[in-house]
Amino acid sequence: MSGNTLISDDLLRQLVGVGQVDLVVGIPTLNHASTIGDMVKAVQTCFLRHFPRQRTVLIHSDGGSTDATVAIVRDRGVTDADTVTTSHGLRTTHRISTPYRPMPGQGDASRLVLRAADLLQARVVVMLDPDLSVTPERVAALARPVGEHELDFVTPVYDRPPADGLLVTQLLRPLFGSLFGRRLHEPSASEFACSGRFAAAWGEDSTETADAAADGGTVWLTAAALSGPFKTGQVVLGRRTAAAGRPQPPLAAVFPQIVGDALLALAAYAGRWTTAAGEAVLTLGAHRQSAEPDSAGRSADDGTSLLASFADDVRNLEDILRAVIGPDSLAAIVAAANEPAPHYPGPLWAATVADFLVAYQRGVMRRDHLVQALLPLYRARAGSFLCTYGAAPGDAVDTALEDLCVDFERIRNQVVERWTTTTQGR
Amino acid sequence: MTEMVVTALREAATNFFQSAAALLPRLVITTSIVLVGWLIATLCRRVMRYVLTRVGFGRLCDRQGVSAMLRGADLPAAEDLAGTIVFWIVWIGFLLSGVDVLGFAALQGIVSSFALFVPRLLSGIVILVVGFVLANVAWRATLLAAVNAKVPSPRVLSGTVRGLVLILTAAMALDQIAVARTIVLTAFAIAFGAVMLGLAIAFGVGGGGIARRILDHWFPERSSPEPPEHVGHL
Repeated sequence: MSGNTLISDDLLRQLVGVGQVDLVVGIPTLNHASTIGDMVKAVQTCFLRHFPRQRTVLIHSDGGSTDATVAIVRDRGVTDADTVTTSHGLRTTHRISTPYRPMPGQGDASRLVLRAADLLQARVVVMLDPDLSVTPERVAALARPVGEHELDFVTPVYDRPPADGLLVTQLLRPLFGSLFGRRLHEPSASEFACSGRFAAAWGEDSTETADAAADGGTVWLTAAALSGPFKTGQVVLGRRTAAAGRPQPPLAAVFPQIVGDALLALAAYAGRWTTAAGEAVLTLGAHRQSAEPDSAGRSADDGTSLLASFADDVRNLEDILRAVIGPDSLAAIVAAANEPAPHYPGPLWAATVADFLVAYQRGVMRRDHLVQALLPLYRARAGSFLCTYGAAPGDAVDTALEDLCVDFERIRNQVVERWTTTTQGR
Repeated sequence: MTEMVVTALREAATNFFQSAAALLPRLVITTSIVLVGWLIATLCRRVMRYVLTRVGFGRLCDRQGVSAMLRGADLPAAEDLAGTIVFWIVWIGFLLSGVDVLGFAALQGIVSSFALFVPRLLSGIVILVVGFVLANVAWRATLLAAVNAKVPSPRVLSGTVRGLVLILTAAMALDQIAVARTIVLTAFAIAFGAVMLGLAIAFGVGGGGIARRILDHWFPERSSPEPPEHVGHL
């Protein structure tokens, strides 16, 4: 789907009415009636409090909500009295509400907002996640580095306890950091900011990569930012808090979606990461990567429960894993799973992920099957990490996560070599 | 008397030599056909193997699990197997053409029968290949889904699915090549029915607990829910 087909005639009319702007904030929604009101209020307050001299627009893209989401956005006035608490805007603030084709990962919604921002010639674009709690200060914190530090892509850094964001800390962060040579704390962050230049490049991309990415999530944008000639940064936002009343989606649903997207994105941008490492990522704000555990005992229990089926899962999936994982690694996994205290060491986990990545490129099996085969192993790795560090202080957790990143970086050359060899053999 | 015997022997010898003289050229033609057929069949096998290798047939078979199944059955790689099948079909065709040239009454019409049989054989092979692929995909999908959903005995479940698809495939392939149709159909119906009945009885008698656990897992609102996982993955 090209960028132009994303923009409906009605949206185009609204964009023409708005004209040129400085800051675009996008909110994709799908049945978010419980959170969208507060979010719109936070964005409006952010516009008035932090960007009173900027031309701003809020673009709400809705995937076909059946609740009152659209009505809430429509009925909330642009300058509601309750949002104007500290100052008044000097420029007109706009709001656009438009539908998008709902797909998993909200990739189309992001692309629509970025394309619209490009048409509006915006300098800064911020994408928000209606499932997360947001404040005017967080929106401003995301938006500012793009203008002040001339960054093209800005992702958040969260203070996470050990049991939070395990898919990020155990898989996506070390994997992307190793392959691209640039460590982003949150490669799949659902809230981020980017420059108009990045939005234009992404919106105008009509290649097969962009078409594939249309259904995907932020990992595509991250891969594009780390691969292209873009200055990338990250800003400390504190804790990542889910909005009240929004349950976190089950792992069985998000894992295939996010990891599947990551595999696709890594394959699409392999030409970049197999040839060169990128520039360093600018980190803004002081941060402690890992917060203290919320409930140390509970985290350890969760780790034990995640590890409980490790041996059974490996035994059941052995025929499938044999086609993916090298014999030495598989033997080590079987041995680790069958120990009295099962564990999944970082180096073995890194080697496993590398095998899966190469297996995907070799086309050993369908992508969805490959991702589903990785899920039990990820559970075991997450459990192993929680058992060891669920009750550990933040510094120890930081060191462990750093070690895991180093484990992944150690196998980078091997992955690149195997990937390149397979590509040349075709 | 002696003259009669000599005359009979002379006639027999004459007939023998006449028959031999008539058969010899046909033998030479048959031998030539068989030899040329072997060369053409060998060429076909190599071309088939080359084309399949070039189009990545092996990778496709790897991805669908066909290669693993062939290895498990001590069969050659998929490209080699396809080449071998083509070789034998082509060579048997030439072989039968050569035999037909000999003009033996008992073998008359065998070539036309073979010509009619080859398309059915090819269809049967295609059904088998597709069936193997489907069986393997179904097995893998069932196994992965069952493991991730924590369904009890995932290997038994996925193996059963694969077995049923393979039985169905084999029955369809045999029916297609028309080998003992009635027996195949009857055997399949009896075997399939027996398997289903056996499964139903076994599950009913011994699997009450398993059924309850599965239903509890699939419909948690009807039973006590599992404790929530206090872990954030995103």
